[in-house]
Amino acid sequence: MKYLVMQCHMSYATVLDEDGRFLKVANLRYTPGQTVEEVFPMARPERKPSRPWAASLALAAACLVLVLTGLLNLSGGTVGSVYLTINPAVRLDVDRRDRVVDLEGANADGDLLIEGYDYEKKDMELVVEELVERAVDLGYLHQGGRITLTLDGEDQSWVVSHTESLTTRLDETLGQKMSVAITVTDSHSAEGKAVIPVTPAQTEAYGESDYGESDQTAGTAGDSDYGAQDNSDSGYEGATDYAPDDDSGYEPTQADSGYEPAQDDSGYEPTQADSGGAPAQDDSGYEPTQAGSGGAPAQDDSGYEPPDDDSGYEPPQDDGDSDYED
Amino acid sequence: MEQRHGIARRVMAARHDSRKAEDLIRDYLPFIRGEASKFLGRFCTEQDDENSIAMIAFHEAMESYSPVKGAFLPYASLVIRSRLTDYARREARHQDQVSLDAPISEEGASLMDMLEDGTDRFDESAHREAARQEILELGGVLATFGLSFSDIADNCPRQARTLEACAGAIRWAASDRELLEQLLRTKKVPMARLALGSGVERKTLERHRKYILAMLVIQTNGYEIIRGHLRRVLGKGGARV
Repeated sequence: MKYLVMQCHMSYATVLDEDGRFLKVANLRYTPGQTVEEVFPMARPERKPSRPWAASLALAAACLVLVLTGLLNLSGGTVGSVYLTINPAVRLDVDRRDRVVDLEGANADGDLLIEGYDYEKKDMELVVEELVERAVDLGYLHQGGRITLTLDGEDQSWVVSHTESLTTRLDETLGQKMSVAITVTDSHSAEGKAVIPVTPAQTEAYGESDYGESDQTAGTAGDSDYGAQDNSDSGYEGATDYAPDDDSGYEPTQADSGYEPAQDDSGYEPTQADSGGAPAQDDSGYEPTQAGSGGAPAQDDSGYEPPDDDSGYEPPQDDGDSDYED
Repeated sequence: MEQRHGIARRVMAARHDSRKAEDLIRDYLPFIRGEASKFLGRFCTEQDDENSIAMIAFHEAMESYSPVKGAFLPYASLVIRSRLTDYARREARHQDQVSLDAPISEEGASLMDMLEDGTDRFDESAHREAARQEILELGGVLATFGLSFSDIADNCPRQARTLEACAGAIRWAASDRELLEQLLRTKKVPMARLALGSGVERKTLERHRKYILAMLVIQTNGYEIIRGHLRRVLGKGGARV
């Protein structure tokens, strides 16, 4: 077989064989136009192609957003979804037994975070914990980072209970190693969020919040097509408790700890809509439910009650307290 | 710890950015050279083939790495050693063959000299230069489609069966001047037409769109040498556009 050398790079060359195959091979001091008889081909990885990145790899944001969504009647018996966004964003679909039935990246970094990770039927909290650990390993989540929980659900009690248990779990996972703020956002009310720092030492007063990455969460929940999966008419009404908490001025001090990402040469910008972060990888078919989809819950057999009753969940921004602080 | 993050991240980032990939490899050239030297038991120079093998192995490691595999550098080291072993084994098989350049007669003439050789050295290098020009031009045209040779290689069918199917489509298209004109004009492969005319399943063609595109461009005017190289695939001909 003869191979026509097409192009030479530092670590490989591209050749064309007589059968019309283009191959990447070791560049044994070839020159383009040369014909060779033997080549050392590059082994091609056995993996499905990743989606192209639109946003540059984010290094800076140490912010973890968890969006918990209760949904009904998705295939596979999904009853809820967890949107986990550090700066990578991923979505976990969860079934009745709190097992993860699907895991998808919701942006480029998300794809990256979950690459090769086996979630099959694992417990939701375990998966979240492992992904958070992975995020730490990959340097996405650092000391002084932030975790945001976004809740969105048809079944409010599911959402509430899972928020609480997840927060506790993350607290335990991270609490000893680093202080991280956990923020709660409600994707239904676009800007609604509550800031709940998980920080042993700090007691932050945070009414207003200039939440640098909040636009990301609000954005992810709201205008970037990153919201609850709109397959079911989740019709989550009465998101009134999650009154929009217009961000303006809150900086958790741990974020100002002078943390500099070690390799901040990526020109990372918080992905507020325009850098092609979450919006750009909107291939998860994911629509915000608050964009006027609200209808009655399709099946109200879950004991669903409007949140302003006795859900027992108090959005901290109502009174500026952190109910999650311990 | 930061080091680890840095490399892992860079590896993942480099996966779809050839410049980042090259930067990363360049930064780790000492590491790569070191691994090759370790394997060889002697200092590995830039001239050694093993250096090239180690580099492509490192690149492979970059493509196939995932954090579940642990830290990147130990993984890369593994891949490098593995490929160097492959290469050594292959070279060992060739040791048995007589070198064409070795002197075999008293006058110092080599086997090479004594073989009937159709091509003259001069012709050979002129041919090579002409091929290089064609390839450069092809690369330029592909660039206007937003493609590089590396993209084509990545998109190329692996299985012989699929390769042959695509070849069939290209052979058909070679005679359809209008299709080729349309291709150059619109910068897109007229897939529907191609699928319909060649009888090859559209799904297959779509999956290898970039490859098909490149092969179609080769059917246009100006790539005689490349087409000659592909004579096995194409049969004779090739429409002039």
